[in-house]
Amino acid sequence: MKTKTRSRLAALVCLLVLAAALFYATRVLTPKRHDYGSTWGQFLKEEKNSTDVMFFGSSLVYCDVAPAAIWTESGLRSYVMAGAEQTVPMTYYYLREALKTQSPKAVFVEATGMIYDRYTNYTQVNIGYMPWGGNRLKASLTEAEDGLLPGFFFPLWFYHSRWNELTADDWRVGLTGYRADDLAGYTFLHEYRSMSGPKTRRFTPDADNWARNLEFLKKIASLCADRGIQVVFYLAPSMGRLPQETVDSLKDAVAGMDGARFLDCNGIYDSFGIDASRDYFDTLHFNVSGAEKFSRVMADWITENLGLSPSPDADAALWDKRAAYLRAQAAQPLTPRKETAE
Amino acid sequence: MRFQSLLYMLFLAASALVHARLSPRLRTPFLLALSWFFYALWEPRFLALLLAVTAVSFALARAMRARPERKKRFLVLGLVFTLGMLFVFKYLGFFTAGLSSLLAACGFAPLSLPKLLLPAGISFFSFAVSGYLIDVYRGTAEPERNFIDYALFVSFFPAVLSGPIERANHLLPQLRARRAPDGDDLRAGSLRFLLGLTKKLLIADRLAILVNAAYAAPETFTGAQLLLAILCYSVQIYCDFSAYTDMAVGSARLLGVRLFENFDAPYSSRSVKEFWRRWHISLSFWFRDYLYFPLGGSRKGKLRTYVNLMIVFAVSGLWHGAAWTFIVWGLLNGAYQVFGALTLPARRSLRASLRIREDSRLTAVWQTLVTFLLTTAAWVFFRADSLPQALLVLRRVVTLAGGVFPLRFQALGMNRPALIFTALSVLTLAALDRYGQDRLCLRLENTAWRRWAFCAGLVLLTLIFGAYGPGYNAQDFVYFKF
Repeated sequence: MKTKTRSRLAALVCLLVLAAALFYATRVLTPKRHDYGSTWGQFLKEEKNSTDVMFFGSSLVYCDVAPAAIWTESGLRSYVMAGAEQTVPMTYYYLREALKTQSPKAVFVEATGMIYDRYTNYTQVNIGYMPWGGNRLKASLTEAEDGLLPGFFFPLWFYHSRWNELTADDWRVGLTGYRADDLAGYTFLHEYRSMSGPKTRRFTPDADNWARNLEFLKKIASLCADRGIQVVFYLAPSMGRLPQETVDSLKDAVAGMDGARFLDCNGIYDSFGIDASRDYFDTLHFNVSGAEKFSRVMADWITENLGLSPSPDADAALWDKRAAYLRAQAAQPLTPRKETAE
Repeated sequence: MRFQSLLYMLFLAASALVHARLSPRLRTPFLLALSWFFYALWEPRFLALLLAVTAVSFALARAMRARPERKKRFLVLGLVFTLGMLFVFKYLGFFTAGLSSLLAACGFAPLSLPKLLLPAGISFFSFAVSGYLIDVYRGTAEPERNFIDYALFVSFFPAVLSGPIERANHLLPQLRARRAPDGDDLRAGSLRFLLGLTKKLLIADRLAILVNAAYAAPETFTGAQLLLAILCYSVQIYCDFSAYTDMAVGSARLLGVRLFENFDAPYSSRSVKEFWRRWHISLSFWFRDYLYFPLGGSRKGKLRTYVNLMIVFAVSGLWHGAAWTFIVWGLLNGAYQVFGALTLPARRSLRASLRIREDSRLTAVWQTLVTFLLTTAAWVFFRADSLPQALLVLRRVVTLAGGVFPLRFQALGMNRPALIFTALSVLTLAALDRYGQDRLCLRLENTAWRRWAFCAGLVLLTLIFGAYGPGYNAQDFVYFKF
């Protein structure tokens, strides 16, 4: 009996040590995510219920919306919780997850995701960095290709082979955790490319995909309505624009959703003061100069159309620091991209 | 369902759990059903072939007992059927291609045959069945009365795909006993399986990256790089096949069955002859008992002994694969032994004249090193896609083509940390081989803390440093294709 107890105790202790070792190994070996979306580790370091506005969607959000610029312009606290090629269903799960720790008054969803395929090149990143829980589980089971599933349940499956390329940052963040993001989810781009003029974006329409995305758009609207959050589905301004009939379909669909608004930023493009020769990183994305301009206009639009005003609880010192950081980064001269042709 | 897959581990765990709780009379049918299911997962249509070989050999062995005066005829019939299947599926294409070339050279139209898929494990189960028929013929084994026990002997899932090649006298009594595994079996079986898994994912599959890169385009690598690759292949194939055996033996042990051991630290051998007593033991002994001895073994003079050796190793090469590379590999191993026997007196006299004792450490290290290098050179033929490729690799290695420095081993797809870690793993394995895997298992079985800590360490090492996941192509065991 004594031997059996000892054996069980040995098993328990060794398995616990193994589990702890695997937990920390996973944290260290997983590539660190400080920008380009899916920055959940940093987002979770934000003080709870400390954002007024949240932005969701694809790279058109994390490259174009600079929360620090919105703060400077309006005194509103915002955060970008986007992901590369984030599909509409993924946006829904991101929103649900974000609402666990934040209670924004308004949510902006960049709606270009309506034309994305169900599986994109970034599913692994978009799901893999989500916090553990029901939303991650549902996203893993419904939004990921089968081949990726093992990695969502056991991230070492994706990342264990990084053991021979670990950096000091991997160890620091892996062992001590992420810090809050000075850019609040925005990704800083410093190069520019000259643009000649807008073009229509080409894609293969897929009726089933559109219908599924629309279903999730409704879920987003419904979730926001339930929580008393104003929701705006918008199309980011860019030089690669959706065909007008697609924009119209989207507008009509949103019009039928209770309390949801639609904003095609390309329709008010002239008000941004964008310099097509200096403010773009590429056809779709602004660099920091363009993002600052766009964010200031968005801040004004929010104040005027959604009636939001700065919160008296805002940590002004933190946001002023963030604004100063963005200004310092933006003050650095822009550099031309190597491939200058559009 | 690969042994190293999570699915197989779940399958094995569930099988062991249910098997241990079944009543004894249900255990064998249960294991048989599992084995057929396991085999059918690889290629369902070949299950019929396995069943046919099982049924025919069972009936013929029974007939040998019932009609002893015609037992030779039954034996021949059984061997023709069993080995005939092997010939048709594995060698017909090879011989037809050879014949076609000959016919074409003589101006005749070449033969054409549809390419046949090789049934999984056919080389292994056909040898197990042939051995059984010969044993029954010789009277060294009783014909099995119970078809279910016999069918399980042929298709027992841990061994059906890549051995060890079992003998009726060893496996059948265990299956008849219908024993449930005890605590020792479960501990030893799990540990053995885990050791095999670690060896496969930590060493064999990691080395496979380097070796595959080298053999994909040997002309683009320097002699030094190819030397590293061929040395690595020696380690890879050992780790790969012995890992398979560990997992097979471990799996069987979890079901209360002990399979043959296939390896006994082969690279510590001091001669090629000794190497073949320690490498793929179940196959070496099969050839010894069923081919070498019937040919006369070493009882008919030196010349005949050497001829017999060459025959056995040529057949052994052919058994591994229907290609000239395997035949040359086999012949080379035979030639090493013939040459070793012929030069033994001279080598002994040389050592005596240099006052180096036969049992000295220097002699042992020298002989072990030479044996390793000889087998490594032979493995080049085993691994190469063709004879010209094997010769190209050897030529580049021997002439150190492209110079030695800079080494640039990274060009082989493995960066420096990975190379160092793999080297450390190989050294650990060598130490483990020297210490004795059985001895280690025994020590660990007796101490719960040590055992659990060891297992947890292996799991952690494998999950962090093992070759698995989306960045790797899961490597089948090398011997699966035989």
